[in-house]
Formats: sequence, structure tokens, C-alpha cells
Amino acid sequence: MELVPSAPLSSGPLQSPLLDGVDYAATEYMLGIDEAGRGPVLGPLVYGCAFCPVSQEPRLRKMGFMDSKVLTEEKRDALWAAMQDRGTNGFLGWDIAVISAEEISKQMLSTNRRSLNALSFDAAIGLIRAVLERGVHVTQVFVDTVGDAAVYQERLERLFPQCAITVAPKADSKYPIVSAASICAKVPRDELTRAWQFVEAGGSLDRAYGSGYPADEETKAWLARSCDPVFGLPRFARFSWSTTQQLLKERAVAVAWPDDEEGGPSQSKMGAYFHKPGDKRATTARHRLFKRSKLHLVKELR
Amino acid sequence: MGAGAEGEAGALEALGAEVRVHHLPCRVKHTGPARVSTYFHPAERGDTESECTFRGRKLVGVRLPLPDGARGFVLRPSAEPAESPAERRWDAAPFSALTWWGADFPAAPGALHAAAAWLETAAAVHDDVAPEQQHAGLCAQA
Repeated sequence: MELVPSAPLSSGPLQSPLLDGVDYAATEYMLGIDEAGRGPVLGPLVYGCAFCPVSQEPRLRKMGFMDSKVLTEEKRDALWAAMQDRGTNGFLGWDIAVISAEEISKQMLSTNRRSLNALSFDAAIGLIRAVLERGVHVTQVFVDTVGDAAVYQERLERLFPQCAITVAPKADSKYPIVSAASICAKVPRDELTRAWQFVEAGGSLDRAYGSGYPADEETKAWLARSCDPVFGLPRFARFSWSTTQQLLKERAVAVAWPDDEEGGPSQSKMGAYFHKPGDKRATTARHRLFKRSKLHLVKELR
Repeated sequence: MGAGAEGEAGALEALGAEVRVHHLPCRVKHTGPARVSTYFHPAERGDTESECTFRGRKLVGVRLPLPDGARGFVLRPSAEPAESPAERRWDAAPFSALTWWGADFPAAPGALHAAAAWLETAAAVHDDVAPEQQHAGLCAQA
């Protein structure tokens, strides 16, 4: 597989080839899903999915697929290299989805704000669907999650009733197929982030951005020195992160959007619903949807 | 935005290449230079629309040619010193279209249409009117 780190990748799947002579419909397959790059303020979120015949699971264990956090970087790279091999692809296929930082910013900041969880969920079902549509007979699905496993599981069961679904935290340490999926998420994610080529700032941006995590001192220093007063940060950064919003407030000029709510995009408090009518605190502003669409209350109808 | 008469067209060519002008759907509290070509890279989407991001938000732009007879200029005070305000000179960069950006979706260019309507109104108010026309106009009203 050839990664194109120079371009700000938009989300799009990259996958292993299906091989001639392998009957993907006749064998029962298991499929694992994991993600890499949820927390960082820089770089893409990558979703990896791996699938193998249920009978081949012990072979994955033998290859060394286990909790990706206990695997060394060299070991992860070696496993990723093995997954490019046609011999391995005979029993282990994979597919990845890249959600660029730009896409994350766009979706999370749009008028119809979409949460990172919603984006993640869409990426996961997109991958499962893609593998099913390629004619692979998947009967078991294992997903690593950071959110509420039960809700996630129920939603997947409704979408894919033909598969037995298991959603579990730390699934990559329990199921080798999820460990394989985590390799296809983590290695490309690291590669994309490390080798990022900026299209902005005419070469004046350096790559000493550290891990990309908001708490990393190197990342913090890079963010501060890379901030343009008008445009803010390059597309490599997630503008929807509070770290970025705070930085822009301090180091860039103010920008007001027509759909900004008074006092910023804060959510109304639950308690607001429990005040007596007439109580000042209970009055809420009209939602921006009405303002944008120029919808007014009609008091009298004739 | 200025309305240029036909006869000036030749002189205007000397001003150089057209510049691309963007109308953003947000208020940027900044007046002065900005590194537009470095940070702002619109991607064409179809014949008239383009897409870009600003401060992480998705923008959809529509190319709007200026109304007939109108020409646009970006003006900047010239570096040459002026003796009096009347002699102040400007550097001008011409444009004949602008990109009207909306957040998430294309925006309705209401303000531009209002400006174009004003050009027409202004022309009608300030045009020379022959006495016969004036007389005819008064008769029509009576």
C-alpha cells in the first residue's frame, strides 16, 4: 500500500486486495475494528479493520498480534509489513479509513454539529459495510470502544443482524483480530502524522510538533509558534479541539460567525427546564436555526 | 466597487492582472494584510462553486461576476507622499468577479444584489435628462 502523506487526506478507504482463488463467501470470517488518534489535536483519526477466517485465529496469535500498546514500534512495523504480503493476505485482509483533521474540524464545527463519536461510529459501520459488500462472509464482529459499549453494540446489532457483535473496551488485548485492526490503524496514523507535508505557510512551518497530544509540551510550543493571526493553524490541526479554540482566542484575531450563539456555543443547562415560568433564568434565546432561516413567531392567524 | 466608463477601459488594463476577491460569511476583526494565498486554497467544485475551509469551518463559495458596467478595485493608499488630501493617490488592483462564501452551504448574495441595484438607481438619478424628457415625465405624472 502506498500512503500519500503529503496531501491533507480526506476520508477514504485504503484496503488489501482480495485474492483470486480464495472463496471469501464460503468461509466464516471474523472482523475486528480499532482506531488510532482520537485524542491528539494534530493529524488524522484512522480507523483500521482486519478480517480472517474464524478458523485462522490461532495463526494470528502465533504471528504475534496482541495488545498493540505492549508491542514495540519495531514489532508493530514488522506486523504491518507482513500485512502487505500476498501470502498473509490469503488469510488476513484489512481496510482502513482516514478521517483527516480538516474533516474532523469541518464536521464538528458545522451548523449541524457532529460529535467525534458520531464520526467514529460512521467510520466503523462504513468499514464493516465495505467488507460485506466485497463479498466476505463475516459472521463475527469485534470492536474496541472508548464509549458506552452496550449502546454501541445495540446499534451495530440492528445494522448488521447477520453478525454476532462484540463491543468491548480494550478489545485489542483480548482478541487478536482487533489487535490486527489496531496495527492497521496505528502504523498508518503514525506515518501520516510523522511525515506530514504542510501546504500552508510556504515552508515556514516546522515538524517538531511532538506527539500531537494537547498535554505534550512540544506540541503546545509548536501550536503557539505556528499560529497565524488571521488563519490560525494549518489544516493539520483540529480546530474543534478546546486547545485550539483557546489558542486562537489568545493569539489570533477574533472571528464572529453569523450562527454563533450569544456567549459562545455553550449548551443550555438541564436546570433551566425546572424553573417556574416567569423566572428570568428560565428564558432561553431563540435557537439560531430560526434566526438563520428568518422564521418568526406568528401571533395571530386569520 | 466603482463603475468605470467605457473610455477608461484602456487605462485600466495598465493596472495589471485581475485579483481574486473573497467575501467571507464571518466578521474577521482585522484590517490589513493576510496570507491568503498561503492558507486559503479553494478547490473547484463544478463550474461555479468551490469549497474551502477557514478556521476549521467548511465554506462553500459561488463565483459572482460583477453586474454589467461595473468594475471592482481593491484600493491601497499609494506609497507616494501627497501634498494635500485631494492629491492622495491609490494603488488599485482590478477584479470583475468575486467569490461569495457561505458557511457549510452556498450563501445568498443579498448584499451584492442590493449594491448592484444601487448602481442602477444612482445612474438613473445622476443621468442627464433632456428638457423634452422632463416635460414628458411631468405630463405622464399629471
